[in-house]
Amino acid sequence: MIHNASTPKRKTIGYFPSGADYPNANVYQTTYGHRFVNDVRLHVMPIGGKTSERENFAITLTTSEIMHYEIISEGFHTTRHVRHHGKDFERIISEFIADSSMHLALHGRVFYEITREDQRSEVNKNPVESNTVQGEAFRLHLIPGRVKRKGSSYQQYVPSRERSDYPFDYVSVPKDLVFEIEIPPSLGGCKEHQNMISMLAITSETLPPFVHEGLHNNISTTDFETKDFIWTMEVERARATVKWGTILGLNSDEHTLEYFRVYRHLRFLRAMALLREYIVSQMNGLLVRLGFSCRILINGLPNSDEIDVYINQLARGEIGFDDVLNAVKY
Amino acid sequence: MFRRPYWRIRTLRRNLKFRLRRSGSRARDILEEVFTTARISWALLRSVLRASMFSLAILGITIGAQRFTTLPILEPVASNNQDAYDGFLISVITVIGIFLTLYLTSLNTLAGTLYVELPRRIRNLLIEEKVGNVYISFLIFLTILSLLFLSAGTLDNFRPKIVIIIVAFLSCVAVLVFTQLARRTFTFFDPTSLALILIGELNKWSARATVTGYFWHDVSFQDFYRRQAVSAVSGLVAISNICDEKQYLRQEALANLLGRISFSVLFYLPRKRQIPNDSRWYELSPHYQRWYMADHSTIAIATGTRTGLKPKMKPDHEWLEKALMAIEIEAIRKCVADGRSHVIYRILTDLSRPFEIFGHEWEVEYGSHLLAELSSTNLFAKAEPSNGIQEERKVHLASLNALGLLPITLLLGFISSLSSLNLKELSQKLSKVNWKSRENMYQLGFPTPAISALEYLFFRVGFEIEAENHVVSPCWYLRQFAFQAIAKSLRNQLDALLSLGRHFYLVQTHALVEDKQILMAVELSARGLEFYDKVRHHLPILQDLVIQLDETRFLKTLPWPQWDWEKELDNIRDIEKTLIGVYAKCIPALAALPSSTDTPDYFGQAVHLAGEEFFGALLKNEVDFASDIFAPYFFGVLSTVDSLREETSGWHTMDALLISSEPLLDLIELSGYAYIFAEYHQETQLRKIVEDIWDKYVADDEDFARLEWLAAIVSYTRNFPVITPRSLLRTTWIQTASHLFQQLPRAPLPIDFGGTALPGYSTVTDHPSLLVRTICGDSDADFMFGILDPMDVFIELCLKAKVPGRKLDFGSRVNLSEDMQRQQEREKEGGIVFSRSKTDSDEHDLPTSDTNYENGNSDDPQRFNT
Repeated sequence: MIHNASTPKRKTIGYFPSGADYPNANVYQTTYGHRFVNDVRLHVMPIGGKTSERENFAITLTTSEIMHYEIISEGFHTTRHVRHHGKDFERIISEFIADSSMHLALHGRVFYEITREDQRSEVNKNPVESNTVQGEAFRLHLIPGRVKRKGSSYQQYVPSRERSDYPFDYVSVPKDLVFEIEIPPSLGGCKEHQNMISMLAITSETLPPFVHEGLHNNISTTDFETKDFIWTMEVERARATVKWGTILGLNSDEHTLEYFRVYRHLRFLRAMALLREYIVSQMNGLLVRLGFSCRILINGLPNSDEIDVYINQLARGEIGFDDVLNAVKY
Repeated sequence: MFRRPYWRIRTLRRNLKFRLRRSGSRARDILEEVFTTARISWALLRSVLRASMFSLAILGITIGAQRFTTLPILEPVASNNQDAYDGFLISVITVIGIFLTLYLTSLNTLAGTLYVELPRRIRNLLIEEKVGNVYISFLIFLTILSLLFLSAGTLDNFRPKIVIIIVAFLSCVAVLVFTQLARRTFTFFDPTSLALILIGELNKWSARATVTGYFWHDVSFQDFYRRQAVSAVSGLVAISNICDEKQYLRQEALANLLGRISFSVLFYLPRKRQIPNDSRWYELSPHYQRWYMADHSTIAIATGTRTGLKPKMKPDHEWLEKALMAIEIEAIRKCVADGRSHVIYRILTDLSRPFEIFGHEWEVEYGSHLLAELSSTNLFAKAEPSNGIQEERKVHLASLNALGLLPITLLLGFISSLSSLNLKELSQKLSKVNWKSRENMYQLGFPTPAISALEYLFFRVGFEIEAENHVVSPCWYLRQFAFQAIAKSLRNQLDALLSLGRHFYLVQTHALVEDKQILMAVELSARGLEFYDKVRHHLPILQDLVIQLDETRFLKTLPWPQWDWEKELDNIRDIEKTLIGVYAKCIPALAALPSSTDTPDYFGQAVHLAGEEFFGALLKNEVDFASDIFAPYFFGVLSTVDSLREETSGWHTMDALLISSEPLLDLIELSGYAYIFAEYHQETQLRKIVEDIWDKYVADDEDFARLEWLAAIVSYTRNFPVITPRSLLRTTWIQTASHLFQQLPRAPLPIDFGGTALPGYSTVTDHPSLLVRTICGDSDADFMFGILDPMDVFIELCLKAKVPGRKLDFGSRVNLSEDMQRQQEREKEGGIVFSRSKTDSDEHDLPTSDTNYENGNSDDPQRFNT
């Protein structure tokens, strides 16, 4: 079994005690930034890779070779706190997709360092399995903090507060050792996404600071209209998330119709499907890079085209709210 | 958005816009004032036109004649006439001065005597009196003109002859107008005439608050319009108080004022459809939110600042109606207190139209509320004094009649709006609506309660447009949402109507009965029955509309009102039965009252209605209800016979007998129906109800004088070859019963034709009762009601049994016992055995005539249930 293998050596720094120096570092602390990131994390895949809502849900490889499951599980097992076995393949892939989605939702892109495992020799030495296994054993490690691509390498920058602890300002990693995932163009790409997440942070404010101050000091702010402020915040939030949609219940009943809320929920699930499909395609691209001939397949979850069909059916009045929500539930 | 300057600039911009709009509004007011002045001037000119035309004609002829010569008119007056010229102008100025003095003195007299005690608002109305002001302006103009010409003549010797003509003409106009104005001044002795000005103001400001008004969407303007309307209402209140204080204004003037106030509601209510629900035109009152039901932002603000939740301000959409109707209610209270019954009658009559509009505008709930307030004024407490003046009683009855009519007009107003509601048209309009323009919402023709749903949609669709740049919610959803509001509102209106009937008619009728005001109780319950009859009659219109609305419902999860029509009809029937029960119980008291052609025949109406309803109860097998009304009906019939005998005492004997016996024939026929329907429904209690009363009737009739009298009357009148109005009514009973019996299933009955080769077949009604089978005959076409009428059934089965050993001739045309025996034999021959009837028990044996079957056995047809 491969879980006895020793930890491979990575080039990048895996943890910054002072906190990673991300561009949108504070977004996660805001109400709607937090909600958005968590919503993406929880809805992109069934939690824990299991669902009772969809009988035919399965995450598989295009091979039945057990060793492939083992190697690929080990490779995508980035959440180290979870122990796994080969049979946890679905959970590991689900966790990886959910975890990378969370980083994508927060930062617009995520980087992993790839370590190739010479300790896989144990596997390769197995006469039965080695005949059928292709590709290199690997492991992905999340690269925290600010990462930039410079020519044929990626540079991980040490946060300014910790520069004195390191003899260098950045760590350089060759690009073939980095697995990068960005927000797909269908969801606006990285730059647009960062604007969106900033807007969520801005619109999380319940009142402007001067009104807060006025309330605390009993100073009248007669020129401020709470109703208009709340309306504008809601509109801006809805505008910002137009490509992503919103989970059911996040849009205020005060300003939206039930149809709109269901529509936005479907749009959110569509965005989740797009994101999931994109991440899986990137994961399969990585497997190709690493010499694997098999691919990851996710079956039993509604894809973006199916959700589009449901949205159109709903618009034409051919399906009710309950029916459509049941159809896309997972 | 997060910085103070943004909000300051926003406020500055808003203030600037407001100032501009206010200036625009003032300019608009000035223009309106100019137009009003022009209209009044034109009206004044028109009124003197005839006289002026004549003057002008003479003037024209004079001028024309002079023109053909040397046009001396333009020449200056002769030097020796210059003094006369000046004297003329001075005279004109003096006359104008006198006119002004007279007019202002009369106003001063009014203000100093009548108006000095009045509130400032009313005094201002007098000062703002437009016609007088225009006239004064005209006089001032004429004075100045004359003064100028006088000055010019003095200074520059400019004295053309035409000046004399112009000034003379204008002076004539001034004289003529003054006569009209003087007459008009007299009307101000009645301050209620000023109410028209206030109602005009209400009209003006409410029109401005609609979406067609000036800056209707601006909160400041909305609030301004409301304040103006409040001021006008306070003026009306003040005038109403004056009417109450001044003895000479307490009758007709007060009634006229309240009539005008009622009238003002007529134009306002339809206009409400065009006033936004969130407009400051409506008064706002705070509604405190629940912590666990408030939205996130509100809770976050309150938590962040450690304060309570800010209340939401809810508009009071009925504030103006309430204010106007409060004047009416208060006036009624005062009139009740000092017994001004004629004024009460006028007020209630004038309220009929507003109630119709309340119904038409789907404000049934408010109408109900208003009616409850009217009822709470003790309108008819002790209104029927035992020794009261006849005239006074009539007015009270008329007032009660007018009050009882109000729910009916409310209902009919509502129904008329349903008839004009075209859902297809509304649906088409909704699909074409421009969601960016708010005015559109109010011009679609939706009923007033559904407007709030459109507004709800407008703001949320607006959010969609802002967020997604297009309308996301499809047409079907928006239509369904709007129609859901109509459906909900329809449900509320119907509930309010039915509840109104229950709480108004029933409660008030009971109160009147307890107060021993029998005529009033009968009058009101009659109106109640009319109300429910109309509800039942018009219910299909509502049902059709509800079906159409249900068809638009696509999302089953959307809450939709539930309709149980059977239950509604049952409820209506229950209330009707209660009302009829009260009505019937009043019969003995009504019988004791003297009859008069000056008042409606309440007694006759009550007896007739009780008879009709008893028949209805028999048809529907309503035992308790039948039991409640038969005894009073029986008593009423006997009393009616007595009173008819008195009233027809001077008539020809035959005519008098025919008329006075008709109620008895009704009674006997209905008693017969009780026997028949007891068999039909297999419910012996129906028969017992009748039997018990008849038993009591003959119990103390030792020598059967009453029955002999009855037999004599019945045998004489029922066979008399004349069709009386009552006999035609009895025919409708037979038709109804026949129709019911014809619906019974029939079974084939083989008939033996005495050894012929071909056996024949007849039919027999499949019913356990032999009586029913006998009545129904042996074929569909051979229905027995034509031959055997219910009167015969009762005579044969009941009356004759009460005089054993004596043969009373009731003029029966058939022998029921023989018919029943024949029927039984026929069935026996045909080999048909019917199940035993439920009414066939020893304790419920039916009485039979002793003329037949004296030695009856178990197969005897006297036990006509097999």
